[in-house]
Amino acid sequence: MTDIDNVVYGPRRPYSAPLVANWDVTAACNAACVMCYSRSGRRNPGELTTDECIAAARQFVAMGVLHVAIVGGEPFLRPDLVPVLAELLRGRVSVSISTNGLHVPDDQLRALATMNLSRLCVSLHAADKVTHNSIMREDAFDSAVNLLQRARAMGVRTGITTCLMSINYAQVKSIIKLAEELGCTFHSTSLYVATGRGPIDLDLSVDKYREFFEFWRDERRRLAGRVELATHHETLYCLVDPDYGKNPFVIGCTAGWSTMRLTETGDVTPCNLMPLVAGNIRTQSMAEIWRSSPVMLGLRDRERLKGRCGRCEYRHVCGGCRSTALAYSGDVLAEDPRCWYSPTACQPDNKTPLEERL
Amino acid sequence: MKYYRVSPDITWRVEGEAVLAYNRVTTLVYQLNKESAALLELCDGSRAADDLQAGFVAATARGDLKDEIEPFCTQLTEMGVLVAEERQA
Repeated sequence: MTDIDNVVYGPRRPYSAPLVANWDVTAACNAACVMCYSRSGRRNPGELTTDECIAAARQFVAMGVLHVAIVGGEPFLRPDLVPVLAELLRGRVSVSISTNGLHVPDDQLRALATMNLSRLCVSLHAADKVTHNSIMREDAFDSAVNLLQRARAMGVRTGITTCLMSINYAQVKSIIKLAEELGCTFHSTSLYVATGRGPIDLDLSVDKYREFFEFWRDERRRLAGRVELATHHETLYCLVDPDYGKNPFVIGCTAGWSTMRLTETGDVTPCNLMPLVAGNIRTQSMAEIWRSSPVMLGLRDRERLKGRCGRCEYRHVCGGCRSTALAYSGDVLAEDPRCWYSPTACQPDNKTPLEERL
Repeated sequence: MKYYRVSPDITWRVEGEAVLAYNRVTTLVYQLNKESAALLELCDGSRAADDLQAGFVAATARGDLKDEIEPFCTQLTEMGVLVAEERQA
C-alpha cells in the first residue's frame, strides 16, 4: 500500500437503521456443515412464532431496512416462510433467501417466482461433489445444482454462497466459474470465522487472505455487469483497492454500523458471526436496540479499537472484522488477526497472532 | 408522453440529508439528494413530467429546481431507479 498520506479515510457516520439485516429464521437444518456459525441442526423450541415473525417483518419495514437476507438453519424448513416473505415484500423491502438446496419443492419455488425476490442463494462450497458433500456432511451437491437450474428456469434470480476455508480455498475460482455457467447473477464469498461449531484450523493463513482479496478484486472487475461478486466482509478490501475506501459509504466492518442479525429466538446481534446479544425483540423494539444498545454503540466508536486496528489509518473504512477479533481473542475490540497490513504508526510484525495460533 | 414510477427493484429511504436507493437486482446503492424523496413519492406511474414538476414544487417549495425535474427523471430512469412508461395522456 502506497500513497495513503494523500487520501482521506476519515470517520463515517453510523446509519439511522440497518441497510441490511440477516435473519436466522430457524435453527432447524437438514445438513450439518462443518463450519456452521449457528450450530444449526434441531429446531429451537423458543423460536419466534408466525405472528412474531410477521411483527418482526413489520419492524424491518418501519425502520427502513433496505434488504433482509433470510438465512438459518435451513429457511425452507419453516412452513410459514412464504407469508413472512410476503410481509417483507409488501413493505418493499428487498429480500434474499439462502438455502442448502436439499429440499425446496417446486410449489414453494413457484411461489417465490411470483414475488420479485432479490435472489435465491444456494450454498456451494466446492465445485466438485465430493468436497462439497464432505463440507455439508450430506449428499447436497446435486440437489444444489438442480435447484439453481430449476429456479432459473422459473425466472427466479439465483446466486451462490461460498464459505471460504482452508479445505476449499483452491476451488474458489472454479466455484465462481460454475456460478457463471449456471447463469447466476450473484456470488458471495463469506470469509470463515471460527464461531459456532467451526474449528480454528479451517481458517486461512494471513498470506492466503491477501492472495484471495487480490484475486477477488480482479475477478470482480472482470465479471462486472454479469455476475455480482460480493462479500459481507468489507474489511481488508481497501488494502487491495485504495479507491474503495474513498467512497463515503464504505465503513469496513458493517456489524452494528449498517448490518444486524435477528436470531430465530428474537435476539439481535450486530452480525451473523458475532454472538454478542444487543437485545431481544420480545422485550424491546428493534429500532430501540439499534439506536441505544451498548453493544451496538460500542462498535460504532472506532477510536476504541485496539492493537494494529486501533493505530491504523484505515480504521474508519476497514476497522477489521469484529467477529474475527472476538472469535480469536475474546475481545470484540481487539485487532483483526487476519490482516497483513502494518499501520504507519505500528512496528512491522514478523508474525500476526493468527499465524502464531495456526 | 412518459409516465414515471419507482422501479419495483428499488427500495429506498431517507438517511439524514440524503436518499439511499437500493437496487435488489444489481445490489447497488445510490445516494441521491434529499429533495429526491419528494420526487420518488410522486413517481407512482400516474404522473407525467408536467405533473411531477407541479407536485414537486408544491411539496418542496423548490421552484428553482422545476426545470431540472424532467432531465433528472431521465437520469434516474437510466440508472434503473425509475421506470418510464410511454402512453397517451
